[in-house]
Amino acid sequence: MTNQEKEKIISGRNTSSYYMEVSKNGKFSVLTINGIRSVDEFSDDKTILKLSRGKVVVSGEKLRLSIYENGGVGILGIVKAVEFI
Amino acid sequence: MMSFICFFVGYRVYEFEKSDITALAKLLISANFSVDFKGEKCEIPLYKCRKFEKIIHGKVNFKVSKPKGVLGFLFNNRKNYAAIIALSLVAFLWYFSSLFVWDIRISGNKNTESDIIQEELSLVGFSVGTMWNKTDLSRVELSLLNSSKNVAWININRVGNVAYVRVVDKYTYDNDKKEGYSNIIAMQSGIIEEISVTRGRAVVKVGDSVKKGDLLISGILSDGTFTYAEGQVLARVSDSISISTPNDVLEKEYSQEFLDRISLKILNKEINIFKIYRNLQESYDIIENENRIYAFGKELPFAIVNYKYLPFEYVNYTRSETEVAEICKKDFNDMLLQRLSQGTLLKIKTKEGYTDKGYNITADLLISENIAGELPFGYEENR
Repeated sequence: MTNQEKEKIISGRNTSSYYMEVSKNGKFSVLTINGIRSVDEFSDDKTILKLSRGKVVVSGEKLRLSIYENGGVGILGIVKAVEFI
Repeated sequence: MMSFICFFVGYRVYEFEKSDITALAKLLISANFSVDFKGEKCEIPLYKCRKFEKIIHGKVNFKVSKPKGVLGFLFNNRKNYAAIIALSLVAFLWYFSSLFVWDIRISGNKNTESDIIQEELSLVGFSVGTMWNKTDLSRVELSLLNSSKNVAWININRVGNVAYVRVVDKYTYDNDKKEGYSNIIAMQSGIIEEISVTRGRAVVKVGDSVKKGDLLISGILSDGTFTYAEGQVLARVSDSISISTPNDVLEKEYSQEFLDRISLKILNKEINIFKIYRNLQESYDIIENENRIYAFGKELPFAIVNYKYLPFEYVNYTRSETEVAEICKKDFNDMLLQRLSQGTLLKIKTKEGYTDKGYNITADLLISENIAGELPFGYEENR
């Protein structure tokens, strides 16, 4: 599988799959999720992201939102729970 | 934290309603636009602002700030010619000052003074004020190695505008033949403890008592030829040191200081920018206060120098007994250390006390030290 093919899958732009990556720095985490359709709710302690199928609920403290050019969304802050509904 | 690029290319801060963030995120995701939110705010580089506003225009309410960052500052002050000129001048001076060597720091030298090495460096064209771009450091190193009598190895590193110079001294071998002829004589009277002859013929032995000026190692060899006698002669030497500190001394009594002038120091040149003319007293001290100027943690080659005059008059001052004794003991210790710099103290007997005029310390010393002194001589051959 070529990198381009992988990107196509993980970006979630053309498929229903999604890709998630977490990196931790002290108590702060960076949660990167590709394949996001929209941000349904955003506040300092809770963020609901809509995927093509289902939703991801990220809860924590001091959450910040970043939107990337490839359709990815980054959640920065103290992530306490990630829930798929 | 603001990104480095944003700071230099300039940026605008957009502020949104909290309820609009989700709608805004949807717009940006679909438009493939990258944004980093800080709560309800985000910073967009100036070159992306137009595209960003096109995406969000009429769909969400927002407030936008004036341009910020370096380009933003220039844009906001585009009609403020004084600020633009000042900024350009600062940028130019900053660039101009980075062209020169500000300081030379020498390390690794054990036998040669740093000043001597700096002088040798200046002879090969590298000194404070030299332009970096006209200096080939490898060539400077090579030239110095060729010309210097003191340096065996040199490495020059540039850190900022400071040259860090590491050197290794040349080692002078004792058996290097000196020119001419010489005897070794006693510089002080004493009893000989040890003789080591590098060149020449010893004429005294261990245990001999010698007087100042006696011949110790002869430069005339047993076969009648001459040489430059060299060697060390350790001897037990008796000496005495004495010091007295008076009770009454003249001390300076200062009156109100006053500013004389303010100068601007650029590299090593001073330009007077302010001066007060007034009648001066006969006796005064000058206090020079140099304030270095820093920008972004970097020292600039400019300084503001204040010169203040501090007039004084000499007044008689009588020290207390404790004070005079303390000063005398301190001076005595300094004198003793200086005397023992070349030798080893074997025995000391001190006598101290108050007199009518002050405090006296006398010490009889027994020291082991090198008493050899060179006494060159010449000869003419009669044909």
